[in-house]
Formats: sequence, C-alpha cells, structure tokens
Amino acid sequence: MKQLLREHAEQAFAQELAALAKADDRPRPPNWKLSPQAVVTYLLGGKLKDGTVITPKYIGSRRLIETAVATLATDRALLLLGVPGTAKSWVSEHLAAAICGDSTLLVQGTAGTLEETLRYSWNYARLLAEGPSEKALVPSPILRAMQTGKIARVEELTRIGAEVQDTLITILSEKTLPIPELNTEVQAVKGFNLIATANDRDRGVNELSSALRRRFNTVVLPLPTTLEEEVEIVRQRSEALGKALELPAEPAPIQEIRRIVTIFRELRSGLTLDGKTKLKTPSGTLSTAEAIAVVTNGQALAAHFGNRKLQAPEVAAGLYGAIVRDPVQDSVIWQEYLETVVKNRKDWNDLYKASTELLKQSK
Amino acid sequence: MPAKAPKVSIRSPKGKGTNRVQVEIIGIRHHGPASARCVRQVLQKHKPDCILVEGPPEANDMIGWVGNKQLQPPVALLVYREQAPSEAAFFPMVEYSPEWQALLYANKVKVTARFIDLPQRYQLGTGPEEETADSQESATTQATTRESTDDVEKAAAFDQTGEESDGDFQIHSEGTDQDETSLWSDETDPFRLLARAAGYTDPEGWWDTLIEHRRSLEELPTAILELMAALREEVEKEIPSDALTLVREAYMRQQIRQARQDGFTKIAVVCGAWHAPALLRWANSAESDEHLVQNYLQRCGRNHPDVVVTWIPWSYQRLSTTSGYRSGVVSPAWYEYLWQQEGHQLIAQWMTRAARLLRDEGVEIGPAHAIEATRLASSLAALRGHAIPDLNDLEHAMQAVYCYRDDRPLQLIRQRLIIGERTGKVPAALTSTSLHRDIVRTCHELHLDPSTLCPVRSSAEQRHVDLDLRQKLNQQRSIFYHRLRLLGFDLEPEEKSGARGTFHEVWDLRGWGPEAVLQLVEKSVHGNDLVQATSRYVCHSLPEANLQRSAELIEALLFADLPFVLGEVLQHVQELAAHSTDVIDLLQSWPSFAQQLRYGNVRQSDKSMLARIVHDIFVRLCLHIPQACALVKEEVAVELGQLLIRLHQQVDVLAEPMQQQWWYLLQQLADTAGHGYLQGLITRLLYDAHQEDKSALLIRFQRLLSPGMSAEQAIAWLQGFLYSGLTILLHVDELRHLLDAWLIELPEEVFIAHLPLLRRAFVTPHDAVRRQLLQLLALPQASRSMDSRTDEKLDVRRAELACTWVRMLAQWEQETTS
Repeated sequence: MKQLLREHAEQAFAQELAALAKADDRPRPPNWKLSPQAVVTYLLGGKLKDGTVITPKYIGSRRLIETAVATLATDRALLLLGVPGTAKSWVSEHLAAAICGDSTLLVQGTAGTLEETLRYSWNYARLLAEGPSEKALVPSPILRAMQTGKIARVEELTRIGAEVQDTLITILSEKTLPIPELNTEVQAVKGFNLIATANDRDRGVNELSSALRRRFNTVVLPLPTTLEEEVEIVRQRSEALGKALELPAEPAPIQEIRRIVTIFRELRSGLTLDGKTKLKTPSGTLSTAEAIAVVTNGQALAAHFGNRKLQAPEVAAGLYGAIVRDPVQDSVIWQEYLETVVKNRKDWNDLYKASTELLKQSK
Repeated sequence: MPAKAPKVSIRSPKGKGTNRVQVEIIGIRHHGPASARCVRQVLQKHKPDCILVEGPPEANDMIGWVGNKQLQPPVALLVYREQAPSEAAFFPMVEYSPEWQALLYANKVKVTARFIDLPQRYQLGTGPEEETADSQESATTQATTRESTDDVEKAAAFDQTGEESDGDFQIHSEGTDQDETSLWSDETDPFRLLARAAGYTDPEGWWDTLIEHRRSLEELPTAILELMAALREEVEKEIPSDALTLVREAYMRQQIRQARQDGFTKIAVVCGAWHAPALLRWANSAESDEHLVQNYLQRCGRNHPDVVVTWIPWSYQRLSTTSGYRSGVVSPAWYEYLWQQEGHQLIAQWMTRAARLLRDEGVEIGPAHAIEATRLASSLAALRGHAIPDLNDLEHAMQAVYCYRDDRPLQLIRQRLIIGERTGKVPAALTSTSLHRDIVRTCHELHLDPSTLCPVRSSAEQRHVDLDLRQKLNQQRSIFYHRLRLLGFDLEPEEKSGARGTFHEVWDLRGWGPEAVLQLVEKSVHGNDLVQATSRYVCHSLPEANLQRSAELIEALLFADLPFVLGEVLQHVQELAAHSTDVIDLLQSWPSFAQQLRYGNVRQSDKSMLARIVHDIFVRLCLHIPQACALVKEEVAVELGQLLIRLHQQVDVLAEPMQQQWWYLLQQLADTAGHGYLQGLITRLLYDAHQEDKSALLIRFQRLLSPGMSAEQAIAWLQGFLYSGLTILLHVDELRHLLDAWLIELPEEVFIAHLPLLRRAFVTPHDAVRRQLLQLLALPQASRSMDSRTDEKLDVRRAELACTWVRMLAQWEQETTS
C-alpha cells in the first residue's frame, strides 16, 4: 500500500526481479529484462525453481495479465481500462518495472496536460541563447522511453484533452517522433512501448478518438471479484489513510466495513449477494475507492464529533453522500434499497433507522 | 504403454475358410472435425466393404437418408417409444461428425453401413432406479431434470471431450447411465488429469490443440488408440467401467463378428475413442460377450415396447453445451470452421470473418484490427505455450483488440461464429415428429379430430368450440388447447358472454390447419411431447416478454396446467420488475400477479416467490406512485385512477404492515396528487375502506368547495369522488347539503360555463339513484327549509311554484327514462 515515502516497484521488488531474471531461460523480446512468461509470474506470483517466492502483485484473472503482456510483446500499446480503484496504475507500474526495469517514465494526464508534456519542450534560456539545438531540447518521458527502448506510462489518458491525446497517434503507429524545429526525428528503439491507464466512468473525461483507440489493445480490469477480497482492500487502505491523517479514532470495526462493502457491491451489481433480489443501480460508480472514502469520512466524523467509534449514523451519512449523486433518481433508488433490503436484515436495523432519518431530513 | 495396433488382421477361425478379415477400428471424438477428416481419409484409403458405426441399430433404415439433399445437418436421430414419446434419446449429427462422414461415404460408394450399439429398446427408460412415471408431467420434469443434471456432470466429468465411456452422444431422457459419468470427479477425471499433465487447464482445450487443430492425420488413429488403451488400463485399475458400458461393448463386438459371418472382409468400425481399445478384442471374446449380453437382457427382463426412429432437425444452439445438451460441443460453428478451412491462414481468416461480422453490425472495425488481433492471438499462444492459437487465445485477442471496453461484440461473435445459428432441415416425408404423434394421441384420448381439433361428431359451427368446464373431459380439452396456444398456435379463447356464466369457454380453432403440422416440426426442437415442448418454448421466448406479457403467461401456464415452468417466469418477472421504471407498466401488471397469488393454482414453492414479487413490486409502486401522480393531465389522471382502483381491489393480499403503508400513501395522495380527479378518487377509496371517517371526509369536502379552489378543480375532484356512482350522496346527507349549497352559490356564468363538466360528473347508469337524489334535493328540503326558516319572510306562493317545476322535472326524468 502507498506510503508517504514510497519506493518504486523496481526498487521494492529488486530481489524478486533479479531472481526471476536468473531463473528465466525462455526467449526475451528485444530489450526486455524478462521473458513474457516471467513477467506474468512476477505479476501473479509463484515459486521459482531455486525456491524464491514471488509475491502476487495483482490478484485476479490470469487471462487479463497474459493478454496485457502478450500485447506489449507485439509492440501494440496497452490501454488498461477500469473504474477507479481497480489497480490500473499499480499493474502498469509493475509491468513497466518487470519488462524494462524502469517504471519512472511517467506522464500524469490532467486536463492541463499539453502537447509538450507528451513530446518535448525547450530549455528556453538555452533556446534563446543558442537557438534550436538538441541541447536545448527537453525530452518528455515518452521521448526518453523511445530513445532507450523502454516502457513509457501515461496515467489517466482520458483526462487529457482530446486534441492533445492525438499527439500519441504518430508515436504509436509510426514509432517515431518528428522534431521539425531541428529538422530531425527520434525513432523508437526496439523494446519501446506504452501503457496507458484510463477510467471511463468519472465525470470530465475525454473519450479517446477512434483513431487513437485503434492503436491500443484494451484490457479491462474488473472490480474485486469477491466480498472478502474487497473488504480486505478497504480495510488496509482505510487503516493506512487513517494513520496518515492521524485521526484520533479507533480502526473501523470489520463488520462496519463489511456492511459498507456489501451495500456497494449489491448496488453496483444490481443484485443482492444472496442473488434473490434484483436492484436498480445508482448513477455513481460506487468503486472500491469510494467505499474507502466512506470509511475514512466516517472515521473522521466519529473522531471529531462522535464517540470515536465508527457507527451507523456516520456510515449512513457517508453512504448517502456516496450513493445519492443525482438527488431525484438516486434517492429513490437508495430508498428502494433501504426498504427492500436493509429493512429486512435484522442486525442492520440501526443503519436502516439512521438512513431513513437522513433521507427524511434531506427532503 | 501397451502398443496395440489399430489394424487387426486375423485368420477367420471358421466360416469362409481362408478368408482374411480386416477390421479397422477408428476411435473418434463425436463432433470432432479432425476425427471426421481422419475417418474420411481412412475409409478412402482402405475401401472397406462394410462400415459399422456406434449408434442405435433401430436407426439402420434411416441411414439411407444421409446424403439426401433434403436432409441437411445439423440433424439428429430421434429414438422414442411409440407409447411414451417422452422416453427418447437423441443422436445429433453435424456435417463434421465422424459418424456422419462415415455414413455419407458408405452411401456414396454404396457399401453396407450399420449401427451396432446396444439397441435403444433395451436402454430407453430402463434406468436402474425407477420405471417410467405414468403421468406426462412427472415424466417430462424428470426428463428435464435429468438432462440438466447430466449437464452438470458433464462439466465435471470428462464427457466434455466427447470421449466418455457411455452413451456418448445421446441424451437419455430417462438417464440410464449417468451413474458412471459421475464416477469421475474433477480430481479423478482421466482426461482432465491428462490435460493437466500437458499443461492445460481444461481437457477441451487440450484435446483441441492436440487433435482437432492437427493437420497431419496419418498417425492419428493409431495414436488415439494407444493413448486410450493406456488411459483405460490406468483408469480401470481405480474405477472399473460400469456394467452398461461393458454390455454395450460386448454387443458391439458381437456385431463385428456378425458382419464377418455375413461375409464382409474389410470392416471399418467407427466408435467413440474410449470404446476403441475394448472393441479390439472382438476376435476372441465370443463366449463372454454372449454371456454378458444375455445376462443384461435378462436383468432388464421386461417387455420392451417398440421404438420409433426418425430424423429431426437440430440446431447448433441446441448442440452447444450452453443449452443443456450433455455431450455436445461448446463451439459447433468454430468446429465447422475448422472442418471447412483445410488450408492455412486459419487464424487470419477467422479474425477477418469476425471483423466483417462486427462491421456489418455497425462496429467500427478495419482490416488493421484483424491484423493486430491475429498478431495478438499468436503472441498469446506463444506466451501460453500453444503451437497454434486455440479458441481461448482467439477470444482473448478479439476482446482486447475488437471490443474496447464493451463485451457485446464478443458476445455477438460467440453467438454467430462460435456457437453459430445453423439449423438443420429434414425431408417433408419425415415430418412425423414425436411431438406431432403426441398431439395426435392426445386428440384421440380427448375425442378430438386431429385435423381440426374439434370434438369428434360435433357440429361445431365455424370451428368454434364451446366447452362446458364442469365436465372433466372438457377441462382436459381446455388444458390441451391452452398448451397449444402457449406453443404459439393461434387459438383464441373468446370472451365469455355474460349470459353463459363462467363455466363456459368458447375456443376459436381456426388457427389450426394443415400447416400446423409443419410448424410442429419447427417446434419439435423444443421437446418430444406437448408438455415438454410447451414448457421449453415458453422459457425460450421468455426474454422478450414484458411485465404485462409475463403476467398473461403466468395465467396461461396455470390454465394449461404447466405449473412447473412458473419458477422461470417468476424469476424473469422479478428481473423485469427491478429494472422497470415505468410505473404504468408496474401498475398494470401488479393486480394480475396479486390475483394469481390469491386465486391461482400455484405450487407452494412458486407461491412464496410470487408473494415476494407481489411484495417487491408493491414496495416499488409505493415509492414511485407519488412521483407518477405529481403532474398529470386529465386523460392520464383518469387512466391512472383506473389503475389505482384495480390495485386497490387487490391490496388485501398483502401483509398488514404493507396495507398500512398503502393507506398512508393514499392519505398523502389525497392531498398531494397532481390532479383533482385523482384526489377525489383517492378520498373516495379511503372513505369506502373506512380508513377515513365522515368528519375527515367532510373537512376535505368543505376545503374543496371553499372559495380558494377554482370551480374547475372542484368539479374534477367531484368527478373522481363520484367515480363509482352517486349513491354516496343519498346516504351522507351532509355531503349532499354541502354540494347543494355550493352549486347554488356558484355565480351564474361560472355555472353555465362548467355545466357540461358538471353533467359528466353526475352521469350515472342508475337512473333510480338520480331520481332519488332529485327527490331528496327537491322536495323534502324545500319543505324543510320552509319550516326552519319561518322567521324569514318567505313568499310561499312563489316557492310552491318553483317546487312544482322541480316536481315536474323529476316526473319528466322518470317518464323519459322508463
């Protein structure tokens, strides 16, 4: 989990990478540090012949990781899609670390990302003093990856404005980046590739143009498959966050987390966990990340205004905020859920009361 | 591994003396294109004079049809008992079935072909546990459950490779041999173990890569035979083959010897690979085989009625395991592709086909995509250590390249290209399906003419049949008609006319004609007898049904006495109800569900589900109705009002707390509904149900008629309030007086302007009520007001005059209406 002082993947797992490289006897694509099979093992975990245990970095479908690695081996760019909190960046970082030993060639996409951030910019002092020259050129991480045959990463590709995104087209299809100012170009060295991550359910994202989309193979990372898995993720993250925020609250009780995650999962999938009742799904994404936020918010509320223990009223407040995004439709959906599901669960009575109370007040 | 040659040449011990008999045993996978190709090659090479195929010998007469242009695979051999069509077995064949290719070859070069498996007449319905149930219903449900358990087992056991040891490619609706397939768990399934040893997760993929994608077939039969011999030896050490398999193999060996006795010298045997090593022993097992078979027949020891065999159309959909067919294949159309594509470029061509399909469906896919998908598939195959990409590699590659974040394109590809939509055709001469026979049989039982469905010796006019449901025979006829109607035939029960009472049902049978028989052929895909076909057809067409239609279906299913399908329909309803945002739709369907819950002849298990649905929809309605009633125009208000009344009439099926919620909701709505009509109507509902007493009603009434309200609103309210007639005005004097006073107070121009509306509000079919009302208003009050207002100066003479007029009006009403 993220800490304030955080090592890069290739530093944190240097030992595993070295052991994998040593044991790896399969053919490696040009400029790859490991064979594709070894990369898959690095991500999914396993045990090497010499007894080194490789910890799993990603818990989930093998098929997805295999597709991702095979994509990178074909020199097609990889697009990792998914709602927030599905470990897209995490997978991207580890893929880059395993393939080229360097996960730092990173461009963070924002609405303010310019073409220069993706291509190159200039050292203006030098540009003014000497005129355009290679020395005055400041290469972007992508350009450096092209020059060295490494993996470049673009985070949150869809946050970047559509016209800026399209800068990537030439790089991905021609594998070259023209520098007209110097009348030259940089051609990518073998081993160069690009991993982009994007989520498509947030507000304020720019759809990829179909021209750009064509340059990517897409791997959709799903939400955690089991309740237990998700509860564990929420527990760890909220604990870490609680520590970081130095909240004077007790760690959230596991049954409250379980309750929140259950509600999130049920509303997200439109089906109760026992599979008996169909539900409508609200407009929000209800990602794991938001479940974490509900827990931490609740803790903060409890710490400063409550009895320092996360209980139904705090949870209800957090849930209302996370679920009711559209005041008209979502509140009916939430009410429907309360009436048909929460009400019938005996030990959820406190939550039912707190939530209906809140709904009445907000009307 | 004991090396056994597939080719066994022995000197015939007796018979034609020095005659050398050559027996070629080809172990195959049912529906395996490589196996089919292999069979074709071996047959062409060895040119046998007799081809023996694992299959029901009763179907020998049907072999002649193979190769006929009118018989287009996928088709199936259907074997069923004449007396009980639900005891049936299917033997589906596709173009790339090795059996089909063997028969095709035999017919082409005109050599003898025979089916050699143990006859179905000894297998059908002789399950170890039970005799065939008598009632249709239980037989069918049994058949259905069997098939589905089989399916489950199939997933677990190694039938998936098609190499299972038993009936291989047939459904035994009475399941004679399922116990043996369940012998193997995931852990002991020999094919799974083999696949795992070779580094595959599922046996299907392993077999595909090893066998089906193979180009060189030269050594294949030998290799399979050796593999199977070794495998069987190992497996049988742990788990001996079950009795039926051994008997069937013994019988098949007998048939090989029979063929030799008949003078054939080059015999080819096409059988499931699992049986191949056992059949090798044909030459020296005569005695023990005889013993085994006789023993078995004795043990079955009962009269085995005749079976009927015919070809019926089959479909890839039904062949694919997704639709519950036991040893089908997951991907019929993919295999067909493998069968047809003998050349290279297998993957590239496949990707192009998929790209074209998506392009036709409007997905933006170019040739570049196909190239990239091909590359990714190859790269994935390399990563996973497959020599050639298998179907999984292809699917994953298509997902990543073609689909972006949407998996619908892949579903489309699965449906069209991997499973496929091909349906077979059968010559018209063979249209006598078991379904048709079952219907004819039922007609005879019910004394109906099968060609018209009318009762025999009746003078049904215009093919309208009037059934008096108090008679048992007619009840059964009604059930029969209802079933046919559910099966999609255009039979209509007409509205019962009031005079005849509810014991009569009039059926319009004009929708049944000669073409119905042809339709039955199509419908026979769904089942062998009427009950099974109807049930499955209902389930099949369920996804298109909306709430309204589902409610009708539930009713129809109960009429048709098919309660065991209800569960599926109810599940569908639950799903629909959860997603429906259309209050009107929910409102329209809820009362019928409630009614079924109250009166319907529903089984207990379904009842609890139905109750749950009724409850759930009701909760949703309570939440949505206020919004729906908020802003409505007059027409909508009237429609909504009618729906609310219907709902209201059924509310008492609900539990007490829910009813309370309903009253609470009505009380709210009586004030807040967006149209006066609704408010009035709801007030009336509340009053009639004794949820509001007279004083509350009067307060509402007064508020309504107070000057703050426009006359228009008030009249709309009145219209709603008086929806069920004027009688209430007779009984509640205060209401009448308030209303009377209000009307008199209305300014003249307002009164005239709203007269048409007013008139509509006071329309009632019962003139007696109106007359009474008039009298109450006109006479006693006139006299009473004279009494009570004695202190006022009143011109009695003029009042009398007015009263005379009113009297005359009342009289006049009476005369004109009588």
